[in-house]
Amino acid sequence: MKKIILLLFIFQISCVENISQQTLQQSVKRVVIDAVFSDLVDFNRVIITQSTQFDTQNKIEKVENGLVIIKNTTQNISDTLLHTKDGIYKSNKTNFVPKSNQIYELIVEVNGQKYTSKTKCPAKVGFELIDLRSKFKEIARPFANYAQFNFSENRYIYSGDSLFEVEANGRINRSENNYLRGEVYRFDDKYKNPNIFLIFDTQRVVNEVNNINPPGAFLRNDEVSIYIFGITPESYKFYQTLRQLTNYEGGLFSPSQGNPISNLDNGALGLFDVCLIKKFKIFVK
Amino acid sequence: MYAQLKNVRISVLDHISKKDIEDCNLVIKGNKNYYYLIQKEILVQLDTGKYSIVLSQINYKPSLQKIQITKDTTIAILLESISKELLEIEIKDSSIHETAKFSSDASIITTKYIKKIPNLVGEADIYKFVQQLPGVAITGEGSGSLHVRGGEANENLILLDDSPIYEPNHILGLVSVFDADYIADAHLLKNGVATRYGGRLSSVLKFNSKTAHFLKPNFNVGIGVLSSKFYTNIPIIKNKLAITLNVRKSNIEYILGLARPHLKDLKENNLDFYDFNTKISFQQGKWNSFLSMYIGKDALFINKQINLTWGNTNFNFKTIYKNKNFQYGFQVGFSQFQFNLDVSDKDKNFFWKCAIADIHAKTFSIFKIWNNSMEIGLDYSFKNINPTQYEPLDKTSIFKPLNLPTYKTIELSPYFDYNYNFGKKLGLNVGLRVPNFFQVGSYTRYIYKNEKELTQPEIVDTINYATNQLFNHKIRLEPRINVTYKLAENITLNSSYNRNYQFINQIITGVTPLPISFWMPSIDYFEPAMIDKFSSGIMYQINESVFLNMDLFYNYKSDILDFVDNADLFLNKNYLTQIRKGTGRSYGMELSIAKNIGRFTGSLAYTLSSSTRQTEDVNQNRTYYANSDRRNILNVWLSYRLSPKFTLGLSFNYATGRPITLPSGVYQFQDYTVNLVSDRNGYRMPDFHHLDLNLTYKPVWKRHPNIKSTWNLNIYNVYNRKNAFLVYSKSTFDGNNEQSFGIENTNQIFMLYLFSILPSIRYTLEF
Repeated sequence: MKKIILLLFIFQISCVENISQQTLQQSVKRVVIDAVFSDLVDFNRVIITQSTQFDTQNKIEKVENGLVIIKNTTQNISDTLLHTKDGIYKSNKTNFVPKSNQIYELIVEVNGQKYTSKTKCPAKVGFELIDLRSKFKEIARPFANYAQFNFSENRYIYSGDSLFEVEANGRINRSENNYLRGEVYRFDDKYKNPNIFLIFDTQRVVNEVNNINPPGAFLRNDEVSIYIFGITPESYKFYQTLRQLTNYEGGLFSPSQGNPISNLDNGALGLFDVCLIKKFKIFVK
Repeated sequence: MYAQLKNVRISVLDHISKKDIEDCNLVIKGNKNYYYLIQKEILVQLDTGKYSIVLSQINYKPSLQKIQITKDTTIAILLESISKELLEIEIKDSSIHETAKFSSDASIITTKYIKKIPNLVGEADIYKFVQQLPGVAITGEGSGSLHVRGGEANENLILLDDSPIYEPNHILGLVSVFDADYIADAHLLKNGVATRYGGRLSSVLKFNSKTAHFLKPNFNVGIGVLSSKFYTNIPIIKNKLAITLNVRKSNIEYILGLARPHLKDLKENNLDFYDFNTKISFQQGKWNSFLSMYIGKDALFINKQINLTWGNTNFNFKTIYKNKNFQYGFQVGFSQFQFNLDVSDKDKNFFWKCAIADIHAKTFSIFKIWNNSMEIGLDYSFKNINPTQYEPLDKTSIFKPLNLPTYKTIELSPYFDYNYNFGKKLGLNVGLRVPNFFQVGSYTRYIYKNEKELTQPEIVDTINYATNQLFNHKIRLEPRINVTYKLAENITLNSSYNRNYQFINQIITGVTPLPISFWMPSIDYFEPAMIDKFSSGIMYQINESVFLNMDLFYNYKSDILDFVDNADLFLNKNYLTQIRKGTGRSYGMELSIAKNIGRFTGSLAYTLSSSTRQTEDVNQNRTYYANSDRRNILNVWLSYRLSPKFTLGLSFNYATGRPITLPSGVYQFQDYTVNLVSDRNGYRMPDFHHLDLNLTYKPVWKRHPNIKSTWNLNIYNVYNRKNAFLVYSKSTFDGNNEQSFGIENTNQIFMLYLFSILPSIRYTLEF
């Protein structure tokens, strides 16, 4: 009888299916500039691409014939970056290292169009990593413990694939089963001092990926390198919007989405970011 | 419009058995015509004078009687039953069975009418029917939102026996809090609204509970897929005091319990709601009073980690005195809506609460002077708004506590309304409402260096107000005018203008309306929202049973609030910096046709409209479509009485897909594939339509003629249309493992739909 009642009454609700993308309007191609300069030279580069249609068949187009100039307007020095490969431009000058509170300008020319941006390099993030231990023994969930966090000027940090870079045993810890996920924190506002940074082991992520929002996944005994980038409020807002966009699931709980506000002019997408980086190494126990 | 009136109680009885007759169509013809669907008896208020009373019922011969009203009167009318053979013949007489009336002034719906047509999951819901009226749009299937002539959901003043209800929905909008067994009728006032109502821009939606029966007890028990109900009316003192009680409890918990062993995905998820209504009615001489209470609660549990509860609490007292040329009324009440969210996700645990409480009072007097009538009154409302109280559940939580300041406000609104008839053809109604808004301390106002700074707003000064200090006084004028002209005996023209102000705003954190929202007054950097509403219409009685109505409307709004794109709303104590002022325009045409007499009855309502917004820092300051913009809406309801026992109902709903924001392209930034977002609401969802059927069976209890039972079989969405509730983009990790990042992602558009074909059954027993 119960089964009959169940068959009669159970709701066929909450179904999801993918639908045709043909109804989507075609967007005009726009230049995308992804520019980062820091005191760790390996991170310094400008990547120039173009946007494409919302279609899996279209590949991202790299811009290889652009002109890229970086200027320190405080010291009045500049450098022209050279194209290496796949739209990536790098500087040959290893001594072109950003310094806090100095103003930097980026000038990019692509197909006769000029895109510029100015930004100020904030001070380095000042806190130390002192511990790494398992918080929940029953599920073997390791986490890193930070202390002596100094919020003097740089309240904005970004933990994600790039601005919160993590390496495990010398490799960037990113694969199908072992990945990172971007998080943005403004620690003095909504959150307590960041004395915990959750790191999830691979097994937990695989088992509970539907229920958790892990910032990272590691194997035990991994050596983990963490890079903390001090960024400007504008960059913070950009990455925060970026995270909202990449995690957007239809607006059930989210406000209306919009494009991140770029600090580049002339309709370019992307960001020009100049920052200083703090690096840590820890072991996952 | 509000002349002094006489109480006329009309009851309808079988001429042999002297038992009450239900479902009678009543037309009272005088200087104006009044149309009612009555159950056993009805109390109406009429001016002194001569009237013709026309009564009809499907199983009885029509009756025509002439009466003269000079004082409060009780009339019992006997109807003569007709033979079974005659039942097969369509009854036609001069009476008009207008149980659903649509016009620019007001749409009036009775619960008896909606029980004849198909309903979602078999739950007759008068609020859901209001969502289908001309000029009304919803944002999605099963949605509880109500957008009247391009307005927002929070711009409707929703009243239960003249007491405000802040959240009219249960279970995320699937059913409303207005139980059809307790509610007698609903009035949707879109324009030409009397000055006694104010405080919201778009509309007034009034729900009136059933009039108490002072002579006979009545019981009603019902069970269906969604809920079980019990309703009773018990006279305590004959002709003086009666109590009404209505309880409704959802069956979802029970059904999920049955389903859980078979559907592992259900886990510990649960959904539950209940309603409790009670009303004590008393009458003494020329005084009529009632004391009512409503308590409703919802609970949603997800995986033992997320616990949402919300609900309304209302207490209300109203008394009215009437004599020949004067009427006086007084009302006082308390309304509260509270929402709680409890998340116990280990170190991301928190408790979130928001609430609005409202103590309101109203006093009014109505005078009649010759052909004119005048109403003066005073409306008072004290609101205590707790927008967000946010606490971590324990020390392991990564979140900090956050308590946004509590807002206390007073709205004091004197008003008058004057009604004058120039002969028998031209009628004029003018009125003025003068809302006065005050904030009440204690309160700390933050002065920002730049109140539009999104990321790092800097507070440069604070202004402190003492406890109980009145400040921030705002006074506005709301003129209203309504003109009617009777072009011919069967053609009436109508034009109206309303200006309204709204002093509170509902902050909705998602584009899909959910109870996860809070209220805030128009303070600090914001002025009250304003609307100018114009409408004109024509009502044409094609023949004795068919009405045609057409209305044109134009609305302009200013100082309406919206969020900037990608607003940071989550636990943001400076959320005011994320809000911007804007303007809105909506215009359109509404067309309806109704036939409510005979075995075959039905209605058709069509709306052609447009609604746009322009808001600073939204969509690059360009105009965009409002969430509720739907170009075409068509709703059809048909009912055919197959026999005295069986009635077949059909309804069809069509609406242009609502606007939505989707990506128009993608780009690469670092390792992210990022959506290039289109204009705000630059796309539209697929069109929405579904067909529903309903079969009602009323068996005869020969041994117990006082017992009446009803079986109601519904099939919702007969042709299994997958109507989109949400359309959204998502990056999908290769290998069908959904992630939202990474260069190997692919991009797809997904659609979430709620209901496929959905049969349901309900049984009701009345005695």
